[in-house]
Amino acid sequence: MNSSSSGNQHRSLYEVVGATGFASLALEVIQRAPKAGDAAEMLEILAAANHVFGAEMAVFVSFIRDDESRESFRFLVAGNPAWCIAYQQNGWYANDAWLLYAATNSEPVSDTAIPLRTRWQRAARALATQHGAVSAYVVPAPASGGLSRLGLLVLGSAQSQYFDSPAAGTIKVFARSLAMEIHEWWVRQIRKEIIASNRITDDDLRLLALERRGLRTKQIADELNVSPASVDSRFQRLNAKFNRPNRRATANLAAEYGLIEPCGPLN
Amino acid sequence: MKQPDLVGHRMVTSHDGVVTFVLRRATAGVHVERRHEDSEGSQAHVASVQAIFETGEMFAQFVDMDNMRFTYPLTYEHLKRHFDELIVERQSTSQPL
Repeated sequence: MNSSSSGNQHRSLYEVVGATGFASLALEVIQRAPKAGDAAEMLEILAAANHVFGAEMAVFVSFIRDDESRESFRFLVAGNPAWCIAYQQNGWYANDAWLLYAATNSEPVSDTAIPLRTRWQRAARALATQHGAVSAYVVPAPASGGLSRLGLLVLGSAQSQYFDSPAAGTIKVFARSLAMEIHEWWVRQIRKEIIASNRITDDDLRLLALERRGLRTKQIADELNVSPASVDSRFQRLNAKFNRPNRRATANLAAEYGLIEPCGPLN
Repeated sequence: MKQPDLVGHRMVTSHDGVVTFVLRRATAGVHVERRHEDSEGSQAHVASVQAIFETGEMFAQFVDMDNMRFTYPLTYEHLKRHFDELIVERQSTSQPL
């Protein structure tokens, strides 16, 4: 596992952010994020973020609710990923205090600012501590447009109260930017994968965007200069591709996965 | 929805598709993705974890935490074999694919 943070052992966050070149290094990492060619490269960027922020672990979580019955979680881990397995095996998603915080807040905070109200939340926190995140910085990356999807960056340090330092105010701006860049990159990656593997065309995307805007079949047909029967047929095909029961659910899923804008066509 | 094609990757999947691993060489080690589809009651979770392992020791810890290795022992045997081959390849060439 990448140990590039070893040079930061025993340095306080105050010392880390006060070091010469901290802001430049942080900006450099942030600017690399949107250009990552694949997940492996993004993992290397997260490892670099560990080094810059003096952390031992950086985890980015992406959550998307496909519908009422299906949710997906994607973790990128720079650090020890063994805790992710235990986390998944315990099924802590619904009770995770940090995810719940990120669902309703956009402010990065030290984990000590997030109350742990249930024993499951305390158990999940203890697991993170066991695997090196004695102190954690929780950085939401919310989505707009009434979507369920959210992103969350968590930086973990083996030093107690590392992120409780007033110096956390300095890293807040950088961490928040990094979280948003990673989230947007990931949405683009997922979008590319889905479009390629399911052979989604630009016409399909336009059809879904019009449905998402609430247009009826006749209106969609007029917009696309096709027959209403053709619109119905195309939606049937798309519903099958996305395994959704109807066009509204397909359009909603397409928005959740970034294929179309939440409330309009993606150009 | 269909998953993307994975040219240049090694994939190990349990017989029922519940757990899948995708491995490839990366600059810093072996990039491993674990995908798990879990349907409990009315709620299905699809979880993916991705990390880069520089050495076999951390990978062994990762596998040792995974209870699925008892359910799918053959899958995990194949997983470890692929990982060992990739880490040796990386060490011998020190070049990513």
